[in-house]
Amino acid sequence: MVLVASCGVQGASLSAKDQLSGNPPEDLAARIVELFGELRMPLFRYLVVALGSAEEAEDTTQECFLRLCRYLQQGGEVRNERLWLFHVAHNLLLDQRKSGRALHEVLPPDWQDLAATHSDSAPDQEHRLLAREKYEALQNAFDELSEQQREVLRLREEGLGYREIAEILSSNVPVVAAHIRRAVAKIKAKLNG
Amino acid sequence: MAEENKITVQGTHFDEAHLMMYIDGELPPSEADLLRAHLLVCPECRLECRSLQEALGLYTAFDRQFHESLPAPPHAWANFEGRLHEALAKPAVQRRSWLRRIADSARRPVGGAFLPWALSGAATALALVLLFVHSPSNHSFSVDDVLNRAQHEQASLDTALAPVVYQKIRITDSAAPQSPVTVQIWNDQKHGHFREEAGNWSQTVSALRQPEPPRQLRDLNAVYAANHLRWNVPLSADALRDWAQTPARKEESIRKEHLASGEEAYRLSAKLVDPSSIPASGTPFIQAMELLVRATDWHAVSERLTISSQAGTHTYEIAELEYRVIPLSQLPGNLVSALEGTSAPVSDSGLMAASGNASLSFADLAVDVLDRLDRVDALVQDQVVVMRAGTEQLQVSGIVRSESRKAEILTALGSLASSPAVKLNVLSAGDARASGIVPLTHPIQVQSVEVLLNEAGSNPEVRTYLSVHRHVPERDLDQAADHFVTDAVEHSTEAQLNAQALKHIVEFVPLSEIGQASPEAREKWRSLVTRHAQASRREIHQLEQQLSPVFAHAASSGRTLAPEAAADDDLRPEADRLLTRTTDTDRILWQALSSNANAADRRGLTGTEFWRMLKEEDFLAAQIADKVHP
Repeated sequence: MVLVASCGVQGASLSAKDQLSGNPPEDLAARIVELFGELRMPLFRYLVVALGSAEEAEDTTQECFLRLCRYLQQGGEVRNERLWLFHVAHNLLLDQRKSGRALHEVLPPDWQDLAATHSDSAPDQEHRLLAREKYEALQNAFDELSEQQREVLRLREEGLGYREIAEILSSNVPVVAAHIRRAVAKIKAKLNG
Repeated sequence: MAEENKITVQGTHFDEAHLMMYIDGELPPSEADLLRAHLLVCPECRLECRSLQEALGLYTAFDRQFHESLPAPPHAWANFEGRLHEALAKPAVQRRSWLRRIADSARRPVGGAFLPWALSGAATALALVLLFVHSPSNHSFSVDDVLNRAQHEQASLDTALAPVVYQKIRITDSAAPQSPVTVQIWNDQKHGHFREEAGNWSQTVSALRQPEPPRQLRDLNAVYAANHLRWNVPLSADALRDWAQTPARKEESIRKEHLASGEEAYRLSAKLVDPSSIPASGTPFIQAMELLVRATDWHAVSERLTISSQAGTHTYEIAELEYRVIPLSQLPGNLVSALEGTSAPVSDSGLMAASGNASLSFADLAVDVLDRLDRVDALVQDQVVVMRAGTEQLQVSGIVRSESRKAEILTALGSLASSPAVKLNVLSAGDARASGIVPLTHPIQVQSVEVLLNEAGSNPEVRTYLSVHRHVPERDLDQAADHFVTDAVEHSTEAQLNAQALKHIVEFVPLSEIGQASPEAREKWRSLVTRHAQASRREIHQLEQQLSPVFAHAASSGRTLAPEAAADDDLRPEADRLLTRTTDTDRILWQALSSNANAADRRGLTGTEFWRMLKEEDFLAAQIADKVHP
């Protein structure tokens, strides 16, 4: 929130529903900073898993917010910023995959490497943790899911509804439901087997 | 893929996709209600539901745990502030993008006069087809996306169900807005037969024979032909796409709108960036074209053409009044012979029997249909809905439990069932299954909630109350608790179904429009609204009375917060809120009383929120009843 102070604008004075087109740049900056504080971690999580690099994920997350800023600056209207940002993040991932710049879809062994690089982000002991076996079974199950299935499950975990997920993936609700259903069926089979 | 996308009710059980959407709160309320009622009586579905919930819950725990182990952003977002300032310092630029177009010469008109002015210098001009994309306000679909879907939808319909497309359209020319012409078209694409009818004029053509229709139609056809569009498909995604592909710079935009029926639609527009670039040739040319595409099925429902000619600029509004794909076998003989090229008149095809109700206003008709449906309780029991179809018709839709119930409903509609102003789409469960129709909004009602609930009466408060205050002996406790819960759920469901019917009635025929109806229709409408408001209220009272001794402490502490007063001439906000509230309380109730309720679920009935909501429901229903009887 440093930026808010430097701009001399109270970020809290703008609600999420504010239309920003035509507002002075300070308002826009304040709004973006506020959204950044609120949504950067969900986006970062989504991107880091897909990109396999915390550095790239951090950069791409920022890029999403900068795009939102530019879009609003040009008079664009956004009703649901969260959805807009995830949609842009998804498109950036696609672009990177197409251009071959993306590292690869991260697979569980990579996650372990990724996770191991940061000791200070170890799971909070107060949280109820899954038993090791169960965690591994789930990880195996997740490993066997298709890319789309993983993506819809991840977006669902970030609190997006089916309709929103469908919009992000340029798909439709029945297809999203089918991906989730099949993913859950695989998870169930793995847990029971 | 196709069958996996379907959300179906298989036999007497719900499938996994349905259950999962239910768990995720993604089902529309009416479907969720049915599923919930079904779960109460179906141990198998309940078990399946529980195992899905468990798998999803485990996955969520896994996902959290995994996320917690992920690295933090390495630079702790340090450079964001600088990048943002930089972005803001740059002046805003208009975003441009090339819209890739698929060359689709196959869609060009067959046998039409090709290339007069438009293709001159095509090679260079094509490179200049610069399209501004204004779509990002709706970043989910571009003009191209919608056109692709609309064309795909059209193509799949054509191949699946050809041979005859029946279309009824209304053409309004801005030069003579008082005299729109209504045209009926039968297009037998497979055999190349085509028939148009407007008023007393009719024309049957085979393949390439040119028609000579009345002025508006003739002019419009001429415009289509001059611009290389297929005159026999006047209202379609093809028309817009074909025109957009002509070499002249166009500006495109897309906007989301709502149709009169409340359905979402996309308005696609394309207009010439520089109309003066079109060489004068005396041929009327299109300056702008707008197409309204319904989002539910990607069907184009209206089109507006802005035309420039020597006579000046004017517009054509083409609105679709009706659209059907008719199997050849279902065509009445005289129409087939008409299509075959004989001169037999198409007097009464059975598709549009002469109407004795022509003098009825729309509101009168709507109220009559609602009232007849309500007399057999179809609005509540079967959740049959009435919608506007086009501007002059209404459609009755629903999937009902049996053939005999369907017959009952059709009998109740009486002569309206055969009126051309009423489109019937009432299917029995068997019809729906046989035709592979997916009951997305109104699935088959699988059972009724009157059946005893299995192992539902396990709520400890209910059991304690029955045992201590009603002195129910231990051996009868299970059964008594089951009965208690069944009753409560039934009251709640009834309150909700009546609220839904009420909402449907006041949304379809709003208070503000009922004034235009006949006194008789007004009275019928009032009694419809009152009946459902009171029924909802009665069920809420009974539920309250039944539950309050058990949860006495919470029940007495519920305060009533009077909801914001809505406008006097609109019942919709109250009806909408009443349905939301009854759905909320129904969910809380069901969760708290279900056999697998946890402590948090059970707290739903011991907290004050539930009781406050019941009071608000009562207040809302009373307010609606008051408003219709000032």
